Amino acid sequence: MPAKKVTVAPVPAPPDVYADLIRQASTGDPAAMERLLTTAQDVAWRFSMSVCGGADDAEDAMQEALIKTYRYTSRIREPEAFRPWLHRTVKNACLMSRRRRVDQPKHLESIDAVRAGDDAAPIDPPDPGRNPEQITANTRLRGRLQQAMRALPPSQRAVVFLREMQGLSTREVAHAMGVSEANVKTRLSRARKALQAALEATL
Amino acid sequence: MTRAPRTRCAKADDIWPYLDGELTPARTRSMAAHIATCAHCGAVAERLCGLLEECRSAGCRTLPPAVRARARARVKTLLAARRAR
Repeated sequence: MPAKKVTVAPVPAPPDVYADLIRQASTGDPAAMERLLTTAQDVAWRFSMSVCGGADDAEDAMQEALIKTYRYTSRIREPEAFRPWLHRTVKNACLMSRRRRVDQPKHLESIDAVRAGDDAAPIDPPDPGRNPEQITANTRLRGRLQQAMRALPPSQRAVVFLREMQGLSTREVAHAMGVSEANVKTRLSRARKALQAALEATL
Repeated sequence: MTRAPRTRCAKADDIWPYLDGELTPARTRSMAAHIATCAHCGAVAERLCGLLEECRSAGCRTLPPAVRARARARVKTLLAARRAR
């Protein structure tokens, strides 16, 4: 039987949604400013929950992202520089929050963890056009990905979050992390190998 | 999903740059054609594509409603305080 022909296309990085928002917000558009400040907190929450730790750190990081973004918006000269700046700010806020909580156990909560009370699990976007088999496979893949992410060293986890989940370029990740581009590539390569190996059973 | 054959292809190192869209247009076309015919690279590319798509989707999930409500409330409070100055 002839081998199955495989068609796999490049996976485009998510677009930079911040630059336009920054431009609009810096001209005094209140709706744009509101969206920008909300989005900055979204990023802080996702980074905290994916990379740093728990919900308490996330709330601290969100507050920090909110205040600093508000102050930064009026001074920014290059809107394209906002995205790496925001992620660097969020990373630093998470680290500060973690340091303040040194007495608490260090653990990583799942970004999808179902929490009791008011912090229910995030909502996945609708998955139209996918059959139940695909949805089940994706759910299994998601669980494996979370486990594999948790097993990564924090520095690699942060790079995976910034590069793969947020779509920052290697250069932007280097700026956000405060390391060289070569260092980002090394961390990313190791993380990808580890994730790939961990997901072998599911994929 | 297809399992990758044990024999590794020399072009496998180009799969990540291909999926990332970092290859030149000519190399992208060449790699797409290669993936379509190489059993090893085809299987690996399918796997990595699934991993990458899952990562992308994890990066844009909506926040829990309560967290989102608190975020919005903080924005309203901050902007109201600034307006009152």
